[in-house]
Amino acid sequence: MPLLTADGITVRHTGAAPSRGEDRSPVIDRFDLQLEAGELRAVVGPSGSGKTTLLRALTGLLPLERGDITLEGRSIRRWEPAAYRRAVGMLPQRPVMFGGSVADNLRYPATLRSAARGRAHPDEAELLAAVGLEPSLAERPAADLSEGQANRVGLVRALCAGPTVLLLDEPTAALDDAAADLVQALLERLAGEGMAILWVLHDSRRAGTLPGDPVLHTFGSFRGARRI
Amino acid sequence: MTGPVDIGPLQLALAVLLVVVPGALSMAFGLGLLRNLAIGTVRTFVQLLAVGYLLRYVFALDAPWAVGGMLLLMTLAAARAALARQSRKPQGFGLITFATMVISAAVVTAVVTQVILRVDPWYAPAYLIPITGMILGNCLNGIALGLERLLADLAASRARIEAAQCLGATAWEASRDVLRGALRAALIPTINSLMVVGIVSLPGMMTGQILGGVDPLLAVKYQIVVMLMLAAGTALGSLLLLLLAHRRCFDERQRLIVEQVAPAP
Repeated sequence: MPLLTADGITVRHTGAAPSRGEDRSPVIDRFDLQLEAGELRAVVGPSGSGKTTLLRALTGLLPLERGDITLEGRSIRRWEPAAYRRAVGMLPQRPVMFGGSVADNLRYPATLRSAARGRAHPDEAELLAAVGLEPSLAERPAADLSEGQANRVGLVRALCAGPTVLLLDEPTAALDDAAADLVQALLERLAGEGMAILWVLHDSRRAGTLPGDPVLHTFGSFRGARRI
Repeated sequence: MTGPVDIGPLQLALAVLLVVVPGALSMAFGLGLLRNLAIGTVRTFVQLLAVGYLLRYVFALDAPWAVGGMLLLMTLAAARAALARQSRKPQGFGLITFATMVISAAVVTAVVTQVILRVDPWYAPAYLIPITGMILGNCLNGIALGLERLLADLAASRARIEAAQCLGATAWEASRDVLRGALRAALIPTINSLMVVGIVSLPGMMTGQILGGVDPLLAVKYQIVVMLMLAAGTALGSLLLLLLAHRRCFDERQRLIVEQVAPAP
């Protein structure tokens, strides 16, 4: 059974405040997707083609006009929202850092009510090192991070929440090739350990370096999502 | 002392001369406020005289239903005023604002008139109407400030709220610091007024009582009760309304409803 599925989902809402005369045609139209545990798959498409909207819908941050999303065979509508979002983590393209230090940010998921009690806490230092960041960075104020650092800290923070599915919005766009390779190696390792990962990117060259048959879907031009 | 000096029509007419000062300023500096000043002066006369006659009528009736009707009207006006001040126009806030005003004014008025002052009869209009009016007026200010802050900060913090939600936070966990900030904004003016009362300002009610011939010490004791009841009423009203408003800004899937917090077009 696939871990995460989208069955003919249509998303009209972008989440932005509606403005007068706004085009309200669907951003995502009857989209299907199946993601198995241990899979690392990519969705490729140019900027503005609806990739971010797809991820926000899969996270439950946008309402579905039609269709359904299931996690572990259960409809998203039957999941308690916070529990669902803890299981389906998302890294936005520009992750927002909370106040305090990097370590405070990494510990944030553990402070939440939905945090699984007794679960082994991920090794933050090991994860930081895996994406090419010094473990001493943990003591730095999160507000001082560069865009590339914030991106990788955001990834480690998302992993600290212990998701079973990870949705990534251009996680390597702000990184140089060496750092991007490290991030990709970590993601491949996590997929090998059973995590389902959906990687959204505009760079089809990077997608081509992923193992196996990585590209799940290619978006066309702006708002031209094709059914797969 | 034999009670307050009466103010006749001539004295009232003389008082109008006082607005000549701001009027002259407006003309001299081209402030463009002359028209509003004139309207404001006329409204002050009309509104206060109307209320004066209405109060005299309600006092003469001396009946619980008349007092209740008057309080209801005042509460409706206060709820309307609190929402009218908002730069955003969220949906479905009328009822919760009115209900919040009713609950907080009723609870605090009941404690002050029935437990502290023990007025007799329990509905004595001379106590219930001004006390409820003061609570509503203060509550209105707190609610208006807190609500404006809540909606603006929810809109501004949307990315941060969603980032927290993507890590498994509930809507409450992701946005409670916004709620806390709004509650502080609602309460700070009332708390500040507790700090400066009697030093910077002599409150209107106390001044009125002293002008009315009441012993200043008794007037002060009343004012202490009033200050504390205003703090209680504003805290209760702001907390209730902000909690309810916060719920109305998220849908059943705990998503922030952008339309609720977006600035009005």
